[in-house]
Amino acid sequence: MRMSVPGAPQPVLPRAAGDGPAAARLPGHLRAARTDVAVLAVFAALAVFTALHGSDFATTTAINFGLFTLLVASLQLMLGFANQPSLAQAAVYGVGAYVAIYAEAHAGVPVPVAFLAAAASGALLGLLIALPLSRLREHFLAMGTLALQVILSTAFVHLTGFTGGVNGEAVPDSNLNSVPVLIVIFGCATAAIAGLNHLRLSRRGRQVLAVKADETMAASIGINVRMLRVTVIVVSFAMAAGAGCLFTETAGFVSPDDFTLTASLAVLVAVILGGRSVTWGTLAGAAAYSVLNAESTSLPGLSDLLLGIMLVIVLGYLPEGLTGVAVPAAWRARLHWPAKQRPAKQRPGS
Amino acid sequence: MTGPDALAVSGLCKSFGGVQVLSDFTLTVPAAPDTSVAVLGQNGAGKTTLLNLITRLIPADAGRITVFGQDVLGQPARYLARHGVGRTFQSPRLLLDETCLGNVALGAMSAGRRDGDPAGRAAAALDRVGLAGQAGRIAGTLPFGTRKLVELARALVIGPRLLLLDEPAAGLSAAEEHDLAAVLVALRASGITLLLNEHRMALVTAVARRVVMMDGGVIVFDGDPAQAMASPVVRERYLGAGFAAPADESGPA
Repeated sequence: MRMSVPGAPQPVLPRAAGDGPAAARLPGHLRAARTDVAVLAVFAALAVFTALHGSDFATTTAINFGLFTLLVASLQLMLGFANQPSLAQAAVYGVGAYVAIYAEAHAGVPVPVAFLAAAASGALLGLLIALPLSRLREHFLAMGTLALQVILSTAFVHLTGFTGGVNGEAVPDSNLNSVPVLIVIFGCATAAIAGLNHLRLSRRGRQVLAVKADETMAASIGINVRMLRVTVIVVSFAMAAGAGCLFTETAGFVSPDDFTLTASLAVLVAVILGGRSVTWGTLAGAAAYSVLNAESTSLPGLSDLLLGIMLVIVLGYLPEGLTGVAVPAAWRARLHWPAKQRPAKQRPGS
Repeated sequence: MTGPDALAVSGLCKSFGGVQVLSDFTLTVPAAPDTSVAVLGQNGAGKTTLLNLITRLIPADAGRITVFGQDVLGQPARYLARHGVGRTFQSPRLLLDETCLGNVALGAMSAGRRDGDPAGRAAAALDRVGLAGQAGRIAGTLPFGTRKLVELARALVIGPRLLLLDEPAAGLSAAEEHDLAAVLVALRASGITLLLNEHRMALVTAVARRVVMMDGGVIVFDGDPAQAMASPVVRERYLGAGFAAPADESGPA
């Protein structure tokens, strides 16, 4: 083989049509903001409908949907961005709720301060847990967070001075079925989804996605893999605990029954139901579960059964989740839809 | 020669279980202009292990590695990328759902300068490897050889002074290999020190100024490409007795 070397490297492939200077740009935040507006419109429409409907049932259902969306978004950050599963989101939600009640009832702080205290407690818990658990991957991390859920569930029952035990803890000045609180919760849910939407495009978000795809590659280009894995858990737990504070604002009292393993599993199932889109998947998964849950309260255990059946159907027949089938291919590019998943064919050890 | 060596490896040992891959391995690459070293050796000779040890992806059992005078064995992998050591992998490791530009920009965002726009620097790096027109293509849809060039661009965008390439020509067509040689010679001329593991002798003769051969965990040959072709050690243990040198064996060097 003859290896003559010209002065300048030549393009290996001919230029594809449409690849011009315009192609040499990363997807921008401005374009993605259209998704934010669409999500905001969905929540605004739902809030208006609820307010016009006026029934306690509608308001409670909408509030539960908003809170659940926040939990799903918090797990989407861990699982969707970083492939770090958690089975403890409901327990962290509980920690935030109890901290908020304590801060308001015993320290007498205003609600925004209680919210920050709850989020900070979640972040601190996340940091304490992440330092050992961030070394665990996938199933092992799921088991580690399962242990956290079980420990916290037990603690909620037995730390009666702090949580009121199985009888629950009354919430001072709560606003049952209040539309203003609903609007605050929907605002937070919109902000959380928009945050995930823009995280995808940011430097840190791209690095987290790189860590998810290939830690070796990420380290070889200068990414601090462990720091990002810890940070994702810290932020996710802060989100879940902050949602716990919002929950106390709409609940007369809270008890360990609100923060069970079953609730954590529901969050996980909602993320899987939603699919790979971090924005619409979060919304669709949370909505699907909330509708199921609201429609099946007449028969105890029915929602769990339906959830299980849906999970089997999704895992078996719709591996990309609800959002993987609901959107025609032609819309995908316009909506920044994630490309179809391709199996990564990368030989180990090379 | 001025300044510390680009790479100085001494007494490096590594074994996997009972297999001693490197034993008291020593290699010095001076930081002279226009330096490129090709590492030859059979599969399993420890070439990739050497790169993985230098870039701290696996821990060493014993020894010392300095890069531009900095001891790196106590440092995490990311330190190398942030201090001027880029690398590629034998099988390119890219984000297959991302565009070429996105993949390269990831490198610019992670280890490059924090100022300036990463997309612009990524586009410039793609241009250096001849992929200016491919920036918007999804990496997973590209042929293997083009993916390797994208990975090379990602290693370039961090502004390396030392570039470690693991079998850059493996799996490439003759035309792709030819283009790759041109790119690597241009990089060498631009002041980047190259260390490449390679089996394709045409690429080695076109790009490398110095050839070392690994066998049994140590270096058994060290010389220029022409000497390597003629060396009885290299011919017997690696090239094979019937090996005919590439037609243009003097290369551009």
